[in-house]
Amino acid sequence: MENIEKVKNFSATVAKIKAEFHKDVVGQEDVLDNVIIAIIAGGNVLLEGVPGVGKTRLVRSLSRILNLPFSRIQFTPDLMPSDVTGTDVIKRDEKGNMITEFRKGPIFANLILADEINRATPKTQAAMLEVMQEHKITVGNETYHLAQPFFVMATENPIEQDGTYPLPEAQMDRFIFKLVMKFPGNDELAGIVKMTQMTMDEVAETVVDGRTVLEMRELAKSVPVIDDVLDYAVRLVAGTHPEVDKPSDTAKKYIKYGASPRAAQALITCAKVRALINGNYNVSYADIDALAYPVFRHRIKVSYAAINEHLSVDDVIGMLLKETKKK
Amino acid sequence: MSTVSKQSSGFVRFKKKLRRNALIKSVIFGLSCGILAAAGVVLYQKLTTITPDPMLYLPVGGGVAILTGLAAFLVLRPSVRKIAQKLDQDLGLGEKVQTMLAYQHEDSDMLRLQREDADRRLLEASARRVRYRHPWLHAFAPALACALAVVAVITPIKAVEEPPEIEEPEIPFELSTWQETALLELIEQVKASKMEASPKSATVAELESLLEALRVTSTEDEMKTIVIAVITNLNRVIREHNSAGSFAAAMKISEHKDVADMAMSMDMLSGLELQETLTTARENLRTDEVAEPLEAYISALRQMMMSVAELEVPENDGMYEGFGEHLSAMTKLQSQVGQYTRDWIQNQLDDIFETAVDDLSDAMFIQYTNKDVKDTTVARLMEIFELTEDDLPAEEKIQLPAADDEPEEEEKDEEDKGSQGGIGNMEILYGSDDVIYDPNTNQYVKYGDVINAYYASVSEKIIDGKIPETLEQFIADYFATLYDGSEKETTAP
Repeated sequence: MENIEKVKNFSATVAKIKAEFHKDVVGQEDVLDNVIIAIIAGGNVLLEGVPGVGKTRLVRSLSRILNLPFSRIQFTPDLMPSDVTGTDVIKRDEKGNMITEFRKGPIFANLILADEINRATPKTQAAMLEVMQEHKITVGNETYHLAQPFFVMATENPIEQDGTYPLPEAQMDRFIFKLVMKFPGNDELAGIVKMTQMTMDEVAETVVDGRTVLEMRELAKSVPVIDDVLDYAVRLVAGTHPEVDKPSDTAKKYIKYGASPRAAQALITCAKVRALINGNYNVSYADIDALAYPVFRHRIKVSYAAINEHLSVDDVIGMLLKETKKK
Repeated sequence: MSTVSKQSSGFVRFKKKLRRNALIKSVIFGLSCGILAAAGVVLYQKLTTITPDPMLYLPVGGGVAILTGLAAFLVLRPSVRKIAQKLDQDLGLGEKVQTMLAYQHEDSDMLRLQREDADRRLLEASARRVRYRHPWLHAFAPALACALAVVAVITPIKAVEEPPEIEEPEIPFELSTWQETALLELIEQVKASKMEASPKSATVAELESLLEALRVTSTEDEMKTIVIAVITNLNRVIREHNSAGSFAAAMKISEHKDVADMAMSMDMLSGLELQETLTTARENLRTDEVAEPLEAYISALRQMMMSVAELEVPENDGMYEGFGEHLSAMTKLQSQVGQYTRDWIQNQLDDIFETAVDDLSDAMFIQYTNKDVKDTTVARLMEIFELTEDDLPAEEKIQLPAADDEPEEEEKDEEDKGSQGGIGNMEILYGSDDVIYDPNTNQYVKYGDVINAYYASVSEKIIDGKIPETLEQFIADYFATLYDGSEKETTAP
């Protein structure tokens, strides 16, 4: 019964979260929705956007709403893995003996903003991504588990190219979504300016806590999905691969590398959350279609033909959606 | 536990509607196909000049309607899964119904919520939103069927094309020299014959007009028409001139046996037959009490004469005169019965009947000759112009002797000539190929084939004393003429 109430209240809870979000963030509806989905689904988000669109503010606001500790890690080329994870330091105990003590790094928070992750060295990137994957850190003989829910939103600076280390595709695959924060429109920009005239600080209030998020995550897992929809998601992922026996026309022409099986998992997991957010108790084709963009955006590499025809990744994803038939 | 397809009232509502729709579509489709099939059959029959048979197109249409309707229902009847898909699609339910169906046998809080949500939305949804796709497609078959049915009804039955008349090319005709000569010879033969003057002149006139007409005739059909017309006229002339037929008709209705028996001799135009019947009548009067039989005989004769008079037989006709004289003599004798002796009366009767036989045989012979010449003329015409009996109208047909039998009969005649009692083995030359009418067989035969039989018969009658003595020599001369091949003319006494 309690669960039923929680399920029924799922959508309302998310609505509250969004309402609080909008106290600090103007516009960016799509990004907000997908960030919420990602958090509930237990995934991490790769966020692309020019400076000043509100990436840090978004995560900060989220930490206030969820009442979860927040860390911002600014990645630079000289950042070491231990700067992220933490390190052992030597110190004197009460008796004056020299002991080592593990000093936790900024990764030990629930919500992490890994800013400009593409500026860090591959070694540091790998350390970060491993933590994202394992949700634990092993230092010496000690293993430290990260608090749940654990959510990382990494950003890539799309402007600077010199001195950056683009994330390899295999690493990109660990992010459940890739979201794009576009430059706000005039109205949205005006709203931002008005909002931040009074104070630059976030004003969103706590709505739910981390435990609630974990409960929501468990609830979402039980959302049913029929075989036809599951098959559709699978065919979408398979359709991104030009090397299969019967590739889709889109893949044959416009895709160089397709999405991994993690994409299928991400589609279904996030579709369940999305269904509940929209007040539905089952996954639909519409859920899959809506999530195809953030799920595939960083997982497929377009071919030169697409580049020549000035087709973006989203354009190619749109073509794939049109080509793949529903039952 | 019943399935959700039966539990969910919302789903049941739509399931019934969709299956009912499928049934209606199937019925419409089946009927359309049936009408199409029936109309096709009707149209086919009409275009092939057959009157449409309800016993064919109705069963065909009905059968097709039932079969196609059933097949359509099997195809169109949506499964529960298809119904769920359609509902999700048309009502925009986002796979709620399909999910409800897929997980109907499982249970959890989430699934219960999902089912309730799906059912609620189904109940709230308007049934009108679930519609046919492309409704015009479903109207296509009935429209086509109706159109074809109308066409089939209004199309008339194709008329049987009668084969074009094959106009047989007209066979040209031109009177040949031989034909003209033969016709002229025939005219001369008729003129020289012993036919009576009146029918002879009429016959000659017909033949002469025939010759004139044939000289300008250009087609064979026209020739045949003209010749047949002449033959018809020749038959009519003799039929109207000879009184024997009228006498036969009057005699047949007589209540007196002897008078009635005379009718056959009239029909046959047989003098010998007439002589026999008169002799029989004479013998029937050879009684002691002659008054009554005499009265009966005279009364019968008088009645016969009155009937003949009503048939407009002229009084100068030989037969009429003969019977008139016979009646007068009998009447006069009747008045003398009782005044003279029985023997005297009988002797008078002998004389009267002898006279009657002579007179009537002569008259009979004349009429027989008329007919004989006419028949010979007709036969010759047919021979000259190559007509057959089939060319003649039924009432004008005469029977000619079969050509195949002639050699055998000729051979037989050659062999049996002596046995028939002819005059030795003398060769029959004159007139042996002439065709005559044989009253015994009612056929036309060659004279040479029957002459021996005729002579034998006559010889017997002469021997029996049934031929008057005055005729005996005439008959002998007649046959002698035939047998010795001369064209000696014999004259009747």
